[in-house]
Amino acid sequence: MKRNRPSLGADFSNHVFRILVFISAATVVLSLVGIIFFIVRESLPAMQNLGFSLFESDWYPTHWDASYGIGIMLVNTILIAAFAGGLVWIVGMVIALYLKEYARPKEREGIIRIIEYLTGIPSVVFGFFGIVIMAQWLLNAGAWTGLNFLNASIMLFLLTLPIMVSLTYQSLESVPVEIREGAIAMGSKPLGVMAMSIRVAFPGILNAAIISFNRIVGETMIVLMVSGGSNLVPQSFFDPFRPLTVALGSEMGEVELRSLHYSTLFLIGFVLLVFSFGLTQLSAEIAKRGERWLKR
Amino acid sequence: MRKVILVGWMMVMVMSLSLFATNLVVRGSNTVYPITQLWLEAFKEMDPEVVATLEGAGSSTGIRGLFNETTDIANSSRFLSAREIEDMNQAGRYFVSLVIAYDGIAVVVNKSNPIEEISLETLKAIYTGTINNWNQIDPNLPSGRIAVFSRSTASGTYETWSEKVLLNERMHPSVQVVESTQAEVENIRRNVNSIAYIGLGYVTDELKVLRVNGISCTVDNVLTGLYPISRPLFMFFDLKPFGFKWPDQGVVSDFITFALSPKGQALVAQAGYIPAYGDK
Repeated sequence: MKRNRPSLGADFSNHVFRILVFISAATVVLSLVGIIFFIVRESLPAMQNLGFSLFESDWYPTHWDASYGIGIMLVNTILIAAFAGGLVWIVGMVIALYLKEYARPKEREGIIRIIEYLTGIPSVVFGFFGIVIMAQWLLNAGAWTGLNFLNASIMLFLLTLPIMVSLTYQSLESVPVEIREGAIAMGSKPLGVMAMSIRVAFPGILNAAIISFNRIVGETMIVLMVSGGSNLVPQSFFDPFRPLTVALGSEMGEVELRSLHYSTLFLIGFVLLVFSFGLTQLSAEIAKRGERWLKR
Repeated sequence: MRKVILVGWMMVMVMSLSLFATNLVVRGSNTVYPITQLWLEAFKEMDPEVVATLEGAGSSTGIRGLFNETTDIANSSRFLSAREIEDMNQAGRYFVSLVIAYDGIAVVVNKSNPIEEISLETLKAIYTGTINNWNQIDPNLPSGRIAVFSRSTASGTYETWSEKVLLNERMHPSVQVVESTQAEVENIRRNVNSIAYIGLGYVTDELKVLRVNGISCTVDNVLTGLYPISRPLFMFFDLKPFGFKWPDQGVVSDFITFALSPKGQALVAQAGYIPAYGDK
């Protein structure tokens, strides 16, 4: 026999390993499908009963004359994600640029270490900080209530900043040296070189922004603790507000099973899921396009 | 063959186990839920055989559960309605009603706020958004936008508030709905312009409790029914399964005895409510 056939034992363990890998992969797919199926099934009654009145503004799910409008909460979710996401994008990019272009090696290492520590902080700690310390500062600064849009923005900013910085830094790092050297050879000043790296790394930076945006949309604990919970679109930074996840997080525990309210909460979950899928899809698309764009 | 015997034997064992285990189903009010949760925890410790199911689904759901015999005990934050009593009589049933605790809701503000007393009408105006500055209540009060706090509208405390203060009107959307009583307390402590309502059991020295319609929120005033934002909490069970006799033994009897015992009533206080019996 010329071919080197694996022994029976090796063949067997190979088989077992394949089965194990297959099972783990199948578990992921099945749980995703299961979650979607479950959410859609539970939200079906609300879809049928409410239709487009779901997007009205009044949210009184336990009132005798109940109304189930999530319009304002949806607007609030988009508002906070746009504001905190925008802020984190700009600041995150500045920090990443500083790390890449200006920081001395020791400094860079230190900052990256600190950011790693920040990543590990659970969101409930940020929420607690928001209630106990940030709320007091804002009240001292003249806010009429401590739990408000600004408080939530700052806490969500702190939560997502580490992800933003490290992802942006990574995409800046992956800019080929040839491009930078080329820019220098063409006579670019340091600022020009930096602009060049940003252009090349832009798909990655945009992707990082979308990931942080996605994180802010889905974040529940922080907004549950510091958003203030008024069902109004905030008119100023000091106004309280209420994004979708707050309704879901605070009412799910006490809702009557299988009621329309219960179903509507699942529908909120479904809306958030669609949101998140859309953003993930967008980020995948950008990553793909970006690659093509670079090769050109 | 041996395997079949083994499996069959195991099945018999499991079935007999579930036959001997005693089931207790408790359903109803969300307000009573935290009390019953503590009771069941302690009760299971004393009798591990008991398999208890607890569901907080609203008082009406619990009472409906008694009618169609899907629950052993119904928790309720209100007494049986006239309609329910009529239905009960027609169905030839007898629902025993027990007062298990009292729920008193205190209106609290920041310590530095000079206000001492508030009326139910003013409270309603604040929570429905017609009053939004302290000096609208009394020109002597400092001007400041009122930061109004409420518990989640799905909570039992809100249920009482809605019924006794809002008179079932809708709360204004600017009211800040926070997650827990603790969050309310934290905000009242820090914000000089805030107002909130909390269970009497949660009141601390750091808060200022207002008199409502001239009556201070004390355990005594809640028990005598003088204090306007309070109500008794009930537990109902059906006598029909016991042949219309008081059950001397069995899990329902044991559970009720425990709930009304000094130990059970101490757990009522632990859940933030006022015990109906014994030491206040």
